Amino acid sequence: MGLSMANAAQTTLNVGMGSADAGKLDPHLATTTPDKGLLHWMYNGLVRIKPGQASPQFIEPDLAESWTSSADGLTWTFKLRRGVQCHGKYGEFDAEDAVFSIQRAANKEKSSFAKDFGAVGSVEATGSYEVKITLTEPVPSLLGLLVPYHGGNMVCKDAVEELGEDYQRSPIGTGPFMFAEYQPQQYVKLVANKDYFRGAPKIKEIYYRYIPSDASRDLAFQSGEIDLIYGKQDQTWVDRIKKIPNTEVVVMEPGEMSVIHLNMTMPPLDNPLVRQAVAHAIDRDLMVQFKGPGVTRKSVSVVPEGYLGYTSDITKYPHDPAKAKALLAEAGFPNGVTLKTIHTTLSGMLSTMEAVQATLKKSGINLEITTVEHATFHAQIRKDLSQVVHYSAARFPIADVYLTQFFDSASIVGTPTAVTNFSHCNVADSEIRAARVESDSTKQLALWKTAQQKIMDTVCAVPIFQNLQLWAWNSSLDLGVDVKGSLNLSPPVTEKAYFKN
Amino acid sequence: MSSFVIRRLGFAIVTLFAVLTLVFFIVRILPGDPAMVILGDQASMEAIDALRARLGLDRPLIVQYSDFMVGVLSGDWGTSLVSGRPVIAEILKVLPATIELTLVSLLLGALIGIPLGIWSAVKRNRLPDYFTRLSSLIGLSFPAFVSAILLLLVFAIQLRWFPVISSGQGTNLVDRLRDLALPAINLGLIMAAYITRVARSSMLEVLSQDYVRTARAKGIIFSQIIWRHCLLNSMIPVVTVVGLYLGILIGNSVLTEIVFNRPGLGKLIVGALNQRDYTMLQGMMVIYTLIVVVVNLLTDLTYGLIDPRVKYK
Repeated sequence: MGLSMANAAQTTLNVGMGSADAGKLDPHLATTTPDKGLLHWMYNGLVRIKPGQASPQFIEPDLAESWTSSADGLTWTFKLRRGVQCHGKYGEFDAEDAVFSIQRAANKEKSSFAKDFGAVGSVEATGSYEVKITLTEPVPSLLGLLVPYHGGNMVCKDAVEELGEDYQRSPIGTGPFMFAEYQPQQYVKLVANKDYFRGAPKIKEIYYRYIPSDASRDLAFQSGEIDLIYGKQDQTWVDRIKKIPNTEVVVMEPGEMSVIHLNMTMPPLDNPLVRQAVAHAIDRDLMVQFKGPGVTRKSVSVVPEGYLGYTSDITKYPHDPAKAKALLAEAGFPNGVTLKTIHTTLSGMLSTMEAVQATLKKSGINLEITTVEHATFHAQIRKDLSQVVHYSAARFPIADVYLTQFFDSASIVGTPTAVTNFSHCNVADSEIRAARVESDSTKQLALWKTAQQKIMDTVCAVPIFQNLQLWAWNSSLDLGVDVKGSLNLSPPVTEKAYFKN
Repeated sequence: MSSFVIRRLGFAIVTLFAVLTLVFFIVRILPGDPAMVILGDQASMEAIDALRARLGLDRPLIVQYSDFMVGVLSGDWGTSLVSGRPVIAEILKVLPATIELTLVSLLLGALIGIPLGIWSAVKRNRLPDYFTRLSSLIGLSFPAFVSAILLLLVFAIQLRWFPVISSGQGTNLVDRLRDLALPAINLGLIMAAYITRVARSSMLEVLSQDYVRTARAKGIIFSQIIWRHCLLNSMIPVVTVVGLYLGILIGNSVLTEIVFNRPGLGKLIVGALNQRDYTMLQGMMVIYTLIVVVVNLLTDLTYGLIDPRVKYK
């Protein structure tokens, strides 16, 4: 099979993904990296981030050729490209499809991302190829919601209505590749969309293979059975894979930032001196060395570096065990403190926390780790049971999303509007909410900066590092773009990708 | 015999009912929320609560339980909470792969284990016996995932005789056998280690029987004694162990399925457990219980084929 697949590799791309099986193949419901990575190649948005980039600074037209917004930022009008075909028999993508898609994405019964569209008051087709979105409040980052990511993926109305529940098993989009087949626990097969409006892809088939075992995936790549492999976020993986001849490795944005959230309602973390001591006790440089400098980046702010709105102009807490001990003594803990954390058994995260535990110990902070299975971890930290929460996440790369989900008081865990504010931080609510609707980009950046400064001054959380996304591929594969990042966490396989002879 | 079978099936129904009830309540005691798993970590509590309501998970447990039992009896096992796909369809898609792997492994294990066990017993306390006992001990001690990786390194990477991962695309017999070979060898060797030890002990016990001593005293050739008088008599414990192990193997093949990237029930149940997919877990338990019951029944019926003294009442 290895030889025959290598000969067929000129137009067939085999991808090895680190997952046991497909989840939901509906782009408005898919939340896992494996599902999003696959759907990425099947859908368009009204706009898109230039393939190979992850920053909203690189937004460009996609299904919409052009757009305008009113002076008050409340009305946006998009002119759609003509002649774009939905996969299969579902006809041309037009304004009716776009309206349906956005309404569906905003519907909490149909979408996992409805909250993102909370400010959308109405969306209507004002022509066969014109869509008008009216907002209840300005959303300067509206275009970011309309890229092919989460709710911005454009679906075809006729397909969704005809397929009903089956839609999540037979996704229909407008992108360069179309769904063809699903074999449980084995693969999803995509085929080239010959009618793609940017041109027929040179790659004719993609087998997106589910290979949960890291070792098996690496061996399959080594044997040539897969051409593009999802990597383990570890320097040792990079070093090992690079030894395989004809291999290209890419380290992509956005990074998943590891942050230690300190529950400010639980003593002794209700004492700012203790929180400052924790911040000084963590050795970020050592953590980066531990994980690998090639795949991690030190974090200093509660917004990941590279996100729009990030600033490093905040109070910094350099590693200083002596200072940490002095702060503890000043707080009334001359003999140190004991903190407790509930933590997942996921090996990548647990090894990070064990390293943090070791660095804290040098400053007299004893961290007791109770490990639980991953789904249990997520349930328990959301019940506000943990004094310290280690969380690792990537989000849409603008400061608003990270700040809102982790540091706005409306997101505090255990409340009806809870998301992931584990620290009960509430010091920057006004800046976060004002920035969200600020249409002047300079003022918006200033508000985000102030929010980060306040949060870091209060030490709601201690950022450690960003773990970047790792992929590798056979060097005979040319993706046709320079890959620096990808919002959907998989490399962009577009109509430009091909195998070199 | 038919009354025996009917009685056993009756017990099976009671067993199924008890297992399903136990599983239904145990999975719901586990911490972890399927709605949260489905919506992902960025979902708000409002969205999670809304999904829980849509999935019916906010209803009283007894209401969920009665709906579930009615569904099982009417053949509706629901849809996966995570993927939305029908549970029965998902199970039936991977069940053939599990049965295929299990039966081929069993066959390999028996073909290797039974002759080895007999040989070891016949050559007791001599070099062949020591070699066989050591080999079976190694086989039993070696973790399945380690032997799987070793097989891949040797036969897939170095020699390139077999693929690393099952392609899932093989429609002809040769491709299917190539995909099946290494995982079946991996499980088959472990099974052979098991069967060897049981076959050896059983044969030793039979060889110590008076009728064997009498046959030898009468001058019958030893090989004929083994073949005619000992073999079938020594097989009853082997059949028991194989039957028990078969049921375990179907569930415990998950490591082999993961390393060789084969579809199977093991992977399905581990995934369902991690994702708190209640309906899938419940459906899997129905299948597992049925498999165990059927295998035990077939094991019992096999006794009658081996030993004509066995009567079914």
